[in-house]
Amino acid sequence: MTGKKILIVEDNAIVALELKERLSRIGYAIVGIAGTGHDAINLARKTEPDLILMDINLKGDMDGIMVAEQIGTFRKVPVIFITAYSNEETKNRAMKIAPAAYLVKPFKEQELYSSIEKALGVSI
Amino acid sequence: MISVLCVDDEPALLDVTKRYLEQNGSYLVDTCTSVAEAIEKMRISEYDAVVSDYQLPGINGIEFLKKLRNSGNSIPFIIYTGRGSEEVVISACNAGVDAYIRKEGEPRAIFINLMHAIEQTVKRKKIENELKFDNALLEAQQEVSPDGILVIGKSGKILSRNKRFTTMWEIPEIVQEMDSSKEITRNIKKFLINPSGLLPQLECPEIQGRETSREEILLNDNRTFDCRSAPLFGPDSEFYGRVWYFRDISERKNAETALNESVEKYRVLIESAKEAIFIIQDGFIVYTNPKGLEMIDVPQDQIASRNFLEYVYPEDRKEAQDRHTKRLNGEPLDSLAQMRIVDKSGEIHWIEIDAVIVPWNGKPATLNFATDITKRKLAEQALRENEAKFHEIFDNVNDGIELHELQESGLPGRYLEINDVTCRMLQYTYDELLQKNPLDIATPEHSIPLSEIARMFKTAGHVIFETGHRRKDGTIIPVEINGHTVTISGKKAVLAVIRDITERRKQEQAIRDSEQRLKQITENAEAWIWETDADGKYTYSNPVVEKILGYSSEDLVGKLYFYDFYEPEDRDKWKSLGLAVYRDHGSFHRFVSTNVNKDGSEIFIESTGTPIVDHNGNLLGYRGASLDVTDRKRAEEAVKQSLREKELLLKEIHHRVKNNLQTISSILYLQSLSVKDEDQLTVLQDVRSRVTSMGLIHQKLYQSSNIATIPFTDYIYDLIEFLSDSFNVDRERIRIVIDILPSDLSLDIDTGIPCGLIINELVTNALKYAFKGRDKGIIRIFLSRDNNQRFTLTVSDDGVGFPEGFERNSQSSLGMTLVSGLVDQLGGSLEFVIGKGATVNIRFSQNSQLGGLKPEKPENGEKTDIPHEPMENQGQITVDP
Repeated sequence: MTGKKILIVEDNAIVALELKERLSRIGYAIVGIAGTGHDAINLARKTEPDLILMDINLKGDMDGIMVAEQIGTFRKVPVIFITAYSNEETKNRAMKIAPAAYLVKPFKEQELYSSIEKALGVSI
Repeated sequence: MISVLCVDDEPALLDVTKRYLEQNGSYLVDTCTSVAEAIEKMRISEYDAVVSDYQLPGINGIEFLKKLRNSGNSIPFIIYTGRGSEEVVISACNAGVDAYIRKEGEPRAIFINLMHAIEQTVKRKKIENELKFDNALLEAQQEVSPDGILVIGKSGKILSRNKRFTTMWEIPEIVQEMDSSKEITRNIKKFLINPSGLLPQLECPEIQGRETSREEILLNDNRTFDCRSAPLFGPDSEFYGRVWYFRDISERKNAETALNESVEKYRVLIESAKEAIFIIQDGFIVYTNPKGLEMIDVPQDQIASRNFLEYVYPEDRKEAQDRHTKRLNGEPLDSLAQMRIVDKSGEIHWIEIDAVIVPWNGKPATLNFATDITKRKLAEQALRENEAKFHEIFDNVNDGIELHELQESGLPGRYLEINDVTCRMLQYTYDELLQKNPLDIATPEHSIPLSEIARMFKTAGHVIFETGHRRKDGTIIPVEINGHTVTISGKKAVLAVIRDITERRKQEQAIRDSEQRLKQITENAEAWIWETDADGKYTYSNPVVEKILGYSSEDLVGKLYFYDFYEPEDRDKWKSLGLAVYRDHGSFHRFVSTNVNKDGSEIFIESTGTPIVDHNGNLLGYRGASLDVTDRKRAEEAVKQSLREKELLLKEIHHRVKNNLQTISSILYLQSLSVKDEDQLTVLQDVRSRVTSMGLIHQKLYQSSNIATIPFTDYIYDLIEFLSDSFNVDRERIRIVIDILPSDLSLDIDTGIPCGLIINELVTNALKYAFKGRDKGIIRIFLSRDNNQRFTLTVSDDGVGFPEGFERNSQSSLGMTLVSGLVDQLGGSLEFVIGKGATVNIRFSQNSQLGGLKPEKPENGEKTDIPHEPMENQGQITVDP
């Protein structure tokens, strides 16, 4: 399970750093942190992650769902959406992508870990 | 005492006789010596007996006797003489002497003999006289008796009969003279229809024995005799014969028959009478005829069970009783009376009644004749009412009524009759007006020319026109004349109603003014005023519509419907809604619709309308006014849009604050990775959790539908989750129970942030210290709000409790310092309860001015409705080790 490549898409760099630190400590390889949709798509191509942690609310003209759609066109990779919004419309849009998980902040750390494990387990 | 007159020519003998007879006191004796003297004495005095000597001077005793008897004197007469030749005795007997006593022998015996003779003679004479009287009496009685009397002896011989007998049986005189029983009975037989009845009884009286008999027999000449008989007995009860009395009762019999016939005639008459007949006696109806029964509708056998007054209508009873009493007392009365009676079914009949007094079974009664006059009475009453009504109308109508002649030309003649109203209207008296002609009163201007009026009266017989009437004071009033021709006593006349139309004229003017006013108002109004029919098609529109919709009134009225202007995409929806309002006859007030102007622009129209209904409640249409509110609507939209934008902006700010706080939190986390010192690590962790608890508030605010309030239950759950996560709480070991009332409690930001920080400090404190050296424990968070908007926050645990010497004011740690400061900021009270475990109670009020609560559902005033059980399932937060 360790060594799996995870791409973090999060426009708040500090928050992304905390996430990276936490996941690294339990053995995942964080292959990149993207603050915008474009970066995320590029990194997804380049780093070929096993999993993407995707914040829905991103700077720029694309939100996380749109980014996941784009990535889905060239790479089959499980996506875990992380959002502070939990309105139905956003959730419905997100569900069309068939994400591995949809976590609403604040979520329990353990919830995140088990979602990741589950997503990676399925994808392997 | 017997008085005796003794006549003797020897005074000595007279003296001796007198003395002897008077010696025992039972005789009074008078004496004289000659007949002449005796006659004189007898003329003066009355004597019971005369004792006379034969040999007397002058007239002798026999002559004296003859003289007396010839004169009718029957006084007892005794010859007392010494001479006793046979011739004298014989002549004395022939002359009617009563005794003959010789003066021979012993004087004492002679006197005894004499006394005996006197007494016997006097007594016999007395009896004879009495007998004679009795016979005479009997004979007289028989002769005057109205009955024929016949006495038949034992052998069948007729013993006696009176005159009446012979006349009533018409016995011829020859037969009477023959006095032959057989002839008489034969005569009787001639009259008998059935001779075998009476005849044997007459011929053989013993047949009937000792019985009396009575029988009425009808004779062949139509006479009726009442025949009675009784047996006749002698002194020793010996049967002598039978006495018959015959009484001619033909008259009575005929009268009876006549009466019976008469009664029958009257009965038929009475029973078939058209009048009701009642006989009233002692207050009861003792007889009534069938008509009477019909009138009071009571069976014959029940009539007499009630006092007659009970049949009388209560109000008329007194009069009925009075009349009855007066009638019986013979007082004068009006012959006919009218009163009401009530029949069995309670129906009231008017009757006309008359009565006379008649004897009924020997007592006075009233014979009453009654006629039901209900119909007549009702007709009379209806007539009276009609008359009264007519007069009432004639005199009290608001209109004048006049009757005037109609001339051949069709022009009016003089007045015949005028009611009061006309007089008052024209200010003339009745008599003054009667002298006038309608043309004297009318002004020359009529709504129809006079010639036409005259022609119409002649042809149609009816004209309505308006004209003026000049009153006595010269003023003119407008009137409407509604005239009909009528024929009165063969002459043509006009009956006309004159109506003063001054008021009507005023009202017409007022209506015209009002219409003018309304027209001016509506045409100059800012509002579009309109009317539609029941289908929604415009029937009226003021010109304002053109300013609003670009269409003229002419474009609309009679052509377009209210829904024709709605925006095409919503037209069907609004049309059906509008027509639903029409169906319910509902009103609408300031209803705003989106319409399309003739030039295609969008117009908002605010309409207010009310249904127009007829008197049966049927919808005729709608009437209302509309305003162009497009500008206002646009302004409102702009304000709403601005508000939405501001809310979004505010949310964005909250989002950014939260992101900044999260960034700080992450920095603290990252910082802690490089810190090795346990105390420093704890400080960093504490700060991080404080920052997070504040960040969560901002997150809740931007997630909330109401930007100003925080859904606090959600917040506490999230906060506890975060803390559990941070402190790696083992759910098997430590349970955190959250209990919030009401469960949808919201707080404004000024209360929410301090409150959240307090909870953060207290729970952190409990997680750090309460369960040191313990396997397990429970932390409870209880937050409630009462009806007075007062809050109670309690954080308690069942752990080790506060350290010894712990006091609030000591503020030994930053945590407690913060709690104390935050409670002060809330204006609340803080209480530490030291006992089993640690408990902190905080009470505070939310200052509504600071933020305002999210409007909440009413709590129905019953707190018990809200589940008070700790939400343990949600409250259990577990983090795997």
